[in-house]
Amino acid sequence: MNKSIKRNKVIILSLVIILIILILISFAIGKYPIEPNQVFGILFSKITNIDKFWTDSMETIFFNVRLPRIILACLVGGCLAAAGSSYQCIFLNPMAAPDILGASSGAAFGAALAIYLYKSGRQVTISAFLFSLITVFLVYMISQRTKGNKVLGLILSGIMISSLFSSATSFIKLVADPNDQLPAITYWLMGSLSGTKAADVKFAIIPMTIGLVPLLCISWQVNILTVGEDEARTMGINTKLIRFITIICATLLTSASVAVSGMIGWVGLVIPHLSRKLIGNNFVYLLPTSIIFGASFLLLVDNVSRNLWTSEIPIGILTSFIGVPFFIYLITRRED
Amino acid sequence: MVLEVKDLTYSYRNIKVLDKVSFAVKNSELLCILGPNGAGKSTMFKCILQLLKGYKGEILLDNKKLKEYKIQELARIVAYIPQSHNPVFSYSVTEMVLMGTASQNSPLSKPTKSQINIVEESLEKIGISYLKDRSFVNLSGGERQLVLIARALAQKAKILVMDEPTSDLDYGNQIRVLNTVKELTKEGYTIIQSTHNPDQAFLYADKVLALYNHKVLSFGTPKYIINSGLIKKLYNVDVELNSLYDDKIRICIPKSAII
Repeated sequence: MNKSIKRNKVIILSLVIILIILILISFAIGKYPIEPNQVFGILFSKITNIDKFWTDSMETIFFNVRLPRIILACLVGGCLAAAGSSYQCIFLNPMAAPDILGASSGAAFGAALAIYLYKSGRQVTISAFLFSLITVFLVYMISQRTKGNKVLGLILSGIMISSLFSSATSFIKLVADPNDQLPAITYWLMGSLSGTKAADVKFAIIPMTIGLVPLLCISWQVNILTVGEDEARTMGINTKLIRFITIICATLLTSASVAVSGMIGWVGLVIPHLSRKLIGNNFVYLLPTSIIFGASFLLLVDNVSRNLWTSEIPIGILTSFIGVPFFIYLITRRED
Repeated sequence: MVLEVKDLTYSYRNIKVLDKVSFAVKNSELLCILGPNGAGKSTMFKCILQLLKGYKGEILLDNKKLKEYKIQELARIVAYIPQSHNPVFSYSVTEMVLMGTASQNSPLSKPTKSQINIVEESLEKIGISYLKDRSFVNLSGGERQLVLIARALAQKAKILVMDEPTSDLDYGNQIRVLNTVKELTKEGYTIIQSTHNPDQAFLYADKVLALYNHKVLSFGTPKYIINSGLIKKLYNVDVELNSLYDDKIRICIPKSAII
């Protein structure tokens, strides 16, 4: 036991170190490169007095362009992975993803509607967030009225409400102005972190914190849910309450992520899966591992997305292009 | 300590699944429930475990209704040992047994050192400490059943409810699991288990409850109530009862096998 706890802590610590290195690299690279010593200089200049050996434009790029984008990539990647691993425990299904209860299709509809009505701006994010929550709320209410297995009821109503909102999104695309609104909707649906502002970070960080903290607190109880409803209850777990809290938190994480970044699929399904392989199924360790792993992965992909080509490729497209080969390698690799 | 079930009645969509079932079981007793499939054994277990709450009648522990206990308190009174199953997500044996201790700590906290000590004691008591780092899904059916028993011990409950604990096990594992369970009754545990094998009731049970058609057919010591007439009624098989070792043990032999 002690040995495995130590091993898990080493894994999590190594992932944190990898993430920190990735963050520092992300500050340095870009269309306007900043030298590594300048990155440290700008960072520490906020704490102590350092003679300036970088330009003003470097500092502007550092704080106004790269910093919010790096923070948001980490937040969105971590939260989507956390939501995915939570839903997997609740639904006893390793294939569950953050969009299982319709959070993504609700957000897509909200964003499309706002682009259709207001063109662009703050309303898109807010509308995406609200519609995402409304969708999951609808799904949950319907599932409470289904007969028999409640978990199955949740999944089924999730599928139904998702497809309803997808159709509604398609309808908006049909009636939207093909010259400016339609491309804007399409681009939003692809998912992107380009043009991230500090306001986006401020918008997302509150629901994300409200979602993450309770999950981290009840992570041991969530484990016990996965051995089965009856068994968990006889072990003294209030299964209904734990499931409800987990769904609310995971939904907040998903809705906030999708609202600020658009549809970034894949991270929420595969990062939890890889984390399970890395650290096992104990949610106490799985949750932080998923968060850090997801943050690193999305930051890495975002770096590729903004540096590899002259025009940026939406990150929602790239996650699978980079992730799938990696995933195939991992699941086909012989375990020695 | 006495667990008393009085006139337990449970209906599912107006169909009675349990009809006025009454019995009592004391500490250090092993109660075997005999009855054909669909007689209401599992439903009765779910009522005792308070997983089904809409029952009529009373389930009392030392004259206090089990319904009145909070879910966390109840976990320290009755533990459930299901048939060994295949969980979706695999945990180590230690993690699996550790789950049993959840009711001893606040819902917001992580397992503590003292809980891990309880796990180690429980594993040692069942004699499976060597399995502690193994993955639960890689164990044999018998080993899994023993781990689930260890989990019930870690839960600190004194009444253990076992739903057909030996149904999926090979002969050797059946005997090992039943011996372990029998040892526990000597330490004061109360065991309530269902079985399909009347010979097991003869070998291990202190009391037998025969359920037929949702009602109690008979209740008492095995030698007193198990006879060829009861087996014929419960399972529609003609058996001959044989007595061995000066009537220390009795066994059922199907008549069709003798001819």
